[in-house]
Amino acid sequence: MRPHEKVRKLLSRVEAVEWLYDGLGGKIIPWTLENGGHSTDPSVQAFLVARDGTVFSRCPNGRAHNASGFSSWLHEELARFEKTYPRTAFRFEAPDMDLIDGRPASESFMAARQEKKPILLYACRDSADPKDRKALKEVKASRKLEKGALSSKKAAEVAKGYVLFQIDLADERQAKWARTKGIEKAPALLLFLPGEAEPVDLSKVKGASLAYHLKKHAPE
Amino acid sequence: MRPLAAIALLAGAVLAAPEGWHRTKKDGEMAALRSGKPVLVVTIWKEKA
Repeated sequence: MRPHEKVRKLLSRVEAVEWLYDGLGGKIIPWTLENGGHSTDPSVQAFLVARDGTVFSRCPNGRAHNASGFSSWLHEELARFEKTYPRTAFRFEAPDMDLIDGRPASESFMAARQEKKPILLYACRDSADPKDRKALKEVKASRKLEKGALSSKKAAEVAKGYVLFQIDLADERQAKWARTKGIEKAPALLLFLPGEAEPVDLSKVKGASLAYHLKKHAPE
Repeated sequence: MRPLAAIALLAGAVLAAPEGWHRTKKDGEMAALRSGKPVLVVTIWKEKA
């Protein structure tokens, strides 16, 4: 994927602000100086900021000026941000995803299956082309599931006995792998139990009842 | 072209057209409270038309 395309995709995961310099006596230069900036010149600077206004990361000098440097900074810092401020009460991990004979495969998923560990797989969609209404709907539905059932602390507590994986269907390789598991759209929440070929579909489970379902299938 | 204008143009190219972007940090933070996303603040100088 070209760097500009990567940046465009990453921008859908943030609330982007273009803050135009308001002169030496304005608010912006003092704010940049307080948050790692070194210049009173109006240079281009980029910051990743938490909802409460706290600066999480500042793009190093120079990387804000080229697509490749900027996209790698934003990609890394968004991953770190999302780990620090998880959107759900569950501690999902991203499974590794490799191409084997041209087909996407996940060794960590296969290993968990072979070790007969129960797996809760969450397939979300984090971003979408603004013109793709179906995908935009999936992004919205993913956030709804995260704010609902996946925010249940009780369910997250029960899920500690499970291997927790999260994939993003906006990623082509992950979407292709998801289709091999029967996942065609986001959000999907599937429970893979040891010895069972077919997963239990928990995608429609609401609120605290997720805890009940996870408990019901929990390993002894 | 003046150096500052060149920087602004380059950053503009990297960060794409600011359609749908918020105009102030405060606006971005308010939107983030609703969407749950972090805020990307880009401070930039642009020559007035």
